[in-house]
Amino acid sequence: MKNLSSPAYLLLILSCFLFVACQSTSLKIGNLDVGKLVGQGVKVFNAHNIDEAQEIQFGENMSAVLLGVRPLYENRDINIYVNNVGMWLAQNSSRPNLPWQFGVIKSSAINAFAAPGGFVFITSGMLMQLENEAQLAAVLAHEISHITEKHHLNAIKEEASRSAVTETLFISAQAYQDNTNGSSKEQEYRTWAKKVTGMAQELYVKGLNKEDEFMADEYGIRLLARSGYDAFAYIDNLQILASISADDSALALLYKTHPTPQKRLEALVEQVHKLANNKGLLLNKRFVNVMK
Amino acid sequence: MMSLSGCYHFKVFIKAILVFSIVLFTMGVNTGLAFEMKLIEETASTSRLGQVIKKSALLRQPSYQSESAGSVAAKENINIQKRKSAWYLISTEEMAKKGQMSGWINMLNVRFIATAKREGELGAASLFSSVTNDSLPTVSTGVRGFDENDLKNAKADLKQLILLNTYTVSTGAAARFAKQGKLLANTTKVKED
Repeated sequence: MKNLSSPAYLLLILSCFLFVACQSTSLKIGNLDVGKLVGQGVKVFNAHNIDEAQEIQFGENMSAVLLGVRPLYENRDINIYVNNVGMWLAQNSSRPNLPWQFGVIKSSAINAFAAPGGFVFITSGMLMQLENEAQLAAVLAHEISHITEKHHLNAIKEEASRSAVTETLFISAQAYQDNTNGSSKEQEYRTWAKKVTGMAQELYVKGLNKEDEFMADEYGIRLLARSGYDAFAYIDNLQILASISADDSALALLYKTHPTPQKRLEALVEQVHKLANNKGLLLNKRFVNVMK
Repeated sequence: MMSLSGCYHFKVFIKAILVFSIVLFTMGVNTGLAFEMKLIEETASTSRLGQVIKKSALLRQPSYQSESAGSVAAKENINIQKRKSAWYLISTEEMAKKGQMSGWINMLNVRFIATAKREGELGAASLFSSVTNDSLPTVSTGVRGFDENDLKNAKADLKQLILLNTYTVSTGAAARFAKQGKLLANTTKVKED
């Protein structure tokens, strides 16, 4: 025991406690026996060994909350266009086989979000700021990089030691939907919903750490270049953001969760120099044609 | 008769010149248009007002290897004409005084002068409104924000997840989309060694 650090020791005790608690209550959600799930692996709770299927379910749950805040923009052509741009980028990323899904959230806020497992969202307010396909690709490339580098999962690993993470986060939302008719299950559903929403708040209000954001910028601009787009559209975007008044409410959450555009630009100086010979495309016309 | 014949030939000659002029004019317009479209594809948005962040080298060409054409002082206001690669083609009042029309400056040394454009003035906004019945994504039309309180009050929306899934495209479709846009993947490494 001497080799165990204090946080690890506490985590072990906490995990054992939850393991016993869930086993004793036999918590069941739909057809899933959560107690058994936890019993199969405290590792799931620890969030240190989340497999891809669990990652996708977790991302689906986070996405359900994001879409619960504001729905998708009701224009199929625009959503499919964003999916085409995103899927092309994703195919050039390090995780092409994830079930990538992209959506435009109907909101005046200027922002974009990623959820583990391949879920990426851009607000219509952000889309309004853009002038060409390369700029759209730049926004998506940043979010894709968060997913390929598992930044959100790493964040919840840290959160796991503070006990906010529970196994229910990794259970499909569908399992809960199946339970909404059963009054006896309503309490469990509410518990699940509260946990999922709580985690979404944790991730999207607190945001990722600044190093992850800088890394997503660095990988994002390079993914943009690799996919054949004009890499400097990434800089265009940040300069456009920097030109919008910092106290504009549309930027409130973005500014709360990201370094300022100016700091992000400064951090990209080296990449701009390295990508100086990039001859990628902007694709103005295709973007405009879809948006009209 | 000679004079009549001469008159006839003169008319034919005039007609030929007219037709030739029209053809030349049309070709000229087309060529100009084609050039302009090419320019649009190759360069980013034009005519922005900006300010130089720090004293910057002014170059004759958009390249690190370019010959110098002077410098631009910190905080000097600039008119950005276009972007090529990581360089802006700019002009300033100071340059005009020296009879210098324009020069290239590193885009990272520039900040845009703030403009309140997002309330439906941008291209995408007006384009959105022109063809859909959907409301504009602006504050004025009631489309709402997305802040901390909104997240706290959110409820998971599973139906929206199903809708999201209907927009998914296949990898094959994305590859065809890229080909259509003449996008070529290259060997740039996302993660450097």
